[in-house]
Amino acid sequence: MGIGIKGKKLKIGDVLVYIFIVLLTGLSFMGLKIMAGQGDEVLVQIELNGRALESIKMRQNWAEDFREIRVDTGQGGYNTIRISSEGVDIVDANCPDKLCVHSPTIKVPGQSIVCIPHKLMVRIIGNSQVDNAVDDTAS
Amino acid sequence: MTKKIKKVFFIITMGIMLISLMTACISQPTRQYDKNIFALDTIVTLRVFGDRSAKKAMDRVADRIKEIERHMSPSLEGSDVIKINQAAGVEPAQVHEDTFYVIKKALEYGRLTEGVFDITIQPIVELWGINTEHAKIPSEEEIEEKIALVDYRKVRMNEEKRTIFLEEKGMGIDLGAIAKGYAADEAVRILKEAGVEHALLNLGGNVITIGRRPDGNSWRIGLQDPRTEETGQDHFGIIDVADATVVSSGDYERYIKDVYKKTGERYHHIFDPRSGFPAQKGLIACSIITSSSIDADALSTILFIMGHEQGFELIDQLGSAEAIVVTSNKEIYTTEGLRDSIISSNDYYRIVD
Amino acid sequence: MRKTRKLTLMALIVSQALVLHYIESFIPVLAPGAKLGLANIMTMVTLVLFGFREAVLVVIIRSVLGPLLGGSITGIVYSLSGGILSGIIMSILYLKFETYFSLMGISTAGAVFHNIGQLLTASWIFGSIGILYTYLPVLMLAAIITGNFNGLVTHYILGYLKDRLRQGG
Repeated sequence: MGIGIKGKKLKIGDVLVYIFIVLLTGLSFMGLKIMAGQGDEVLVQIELNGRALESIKMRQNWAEDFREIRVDTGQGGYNTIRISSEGVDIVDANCPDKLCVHSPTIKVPGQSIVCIPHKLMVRIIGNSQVDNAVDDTAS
Repeated sequence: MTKKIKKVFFIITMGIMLISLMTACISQPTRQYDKNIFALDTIVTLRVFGDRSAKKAMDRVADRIKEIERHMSPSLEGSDVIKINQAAGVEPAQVHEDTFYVIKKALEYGRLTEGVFDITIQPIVELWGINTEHAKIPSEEEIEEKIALVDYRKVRMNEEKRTIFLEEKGMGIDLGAIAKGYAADEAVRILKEAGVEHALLNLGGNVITIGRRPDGNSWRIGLQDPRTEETGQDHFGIIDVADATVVSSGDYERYIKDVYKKTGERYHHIFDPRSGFPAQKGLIACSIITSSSIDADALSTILFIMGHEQGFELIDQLGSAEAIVVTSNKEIYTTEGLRDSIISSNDYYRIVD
Repeated sequence: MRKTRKLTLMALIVSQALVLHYIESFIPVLAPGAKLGLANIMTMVTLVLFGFREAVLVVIIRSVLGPLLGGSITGIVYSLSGGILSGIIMSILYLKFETYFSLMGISTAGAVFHNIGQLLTASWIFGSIGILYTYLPVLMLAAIITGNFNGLVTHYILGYLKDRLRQGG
């Protein structure tokens, strides 16, 4: 039995599945673009259980903001987040699946990394969606 | 044959599904549009989210605010306010319906507060000249002379002819404490009529929000720290709002800087119409949160003049607004409805229940 | 097929799905969430042998019991959302449009929607659609690989099973 036997040939529908995948990938890049917002103010925000723990305002050169933050997520859990010129990454964690450690490095506003078991999210927020900072001031 | 038809049908359906998926995401780009204008003696910033029609509505708002300024400016030649003041004691002046409405509303607040809110304060404003080059502390006699001209009951309105008449010569009106509020309400009306669902406007410190932020969260509004040079903080509190307006008043914006440098006393721009002096009821800042901007604008001035206790009593009685005040003892008080929603990260002030 | 026979087969399938789910937790992942999704093989086998309702049943049982074997309770919600969505999509493709799809195509579509379901759930729980956008591209790539692999395996298993089942009457 080799490739190409009955039932394994590439069919028209399969091609559509691939087209769908390509479109979806394109759409998510576009979604990121839209979310990125304008302006150059960028915030790295760490949220635990939906609550913002820390918001770090990034400078133009990310290397200046290099740091590692160890977040205690309760019940002995922790995630270590590294901010470097590469972007933001979870470099260590003691969650069961370690998916967050394998997550892609994020740098563009709109992107986020999650650690589902620890209910931790790290996200990058662009100017138009800065969360912890106020939207405006009444004076 | 039927198989072929089925195949074609299938491909078409899949195609339509894909295209509709794409257009659902692309055709309605919610973009952010910003515009800054200088009007009503202050900086107006407009931030509107939506498609191109939202941008057009934003441009109409800018035009409308300029138009309101032309009617209500105390300094623009030919404005209704200047016409009324020049004709004081002589003859009624015919005004635009915007101006008429605002004065009517202002006089209602005058009656409600028995003169705490009084647009005929203009002679006192002019006498002190705060925020002008000739700002000074006037003598008792000067104040006594001018305060005699301050009386909201001496404003005559003629609904039919749409005229305003100030009974005595030397009287004058100043709509500075309410015009921005009216302009804001008009801006909201125009944007909402155009179907705008998310917008953030700032009319010289009056913050107006439409809907929520595009990401679904409430707008996060900072309340200006009145002593920022001492505390090093920007805000004395933060509040999350949606579809609401936040207006602040305080002694920190406009005051006689020379006197403050020498004596540390702040002679600010919010005058008590009963004394002719800057209001001294123990407040250094206050904010009103409500849905109507014209009300918020008037109420924040009223609250600042009345002070914490009397002011809160009035606001509770009205029942449509929430308020927060900062006293000169660095204490923060809020009305019932705000108690749990104010976020304070500023240790300089103490929230009192 | 007799009722007891069906019941026995279903029980076997569910336990195999669980075993696959468990084995998978030992296989290191290269990309986040880009698991092989071996349990999906059993979903497809059920779909082909029994049909829609049985397939979804297998998905639900596996999604609830799987995280209890190795993983956290919160995992149930993600397994369920991904599993059910992909189960429904695969059923539609297989039962209505079988002529146009190979098993690999159906399996790939299943993998894609499994990821979409989980990401939407995560986006909803964490309140950030950014999660969807961040993870989707890399997961789509992974879905092509794992989907084809699982589809191929399913193809062979079905070939084997069909013979055996026929023999057994």
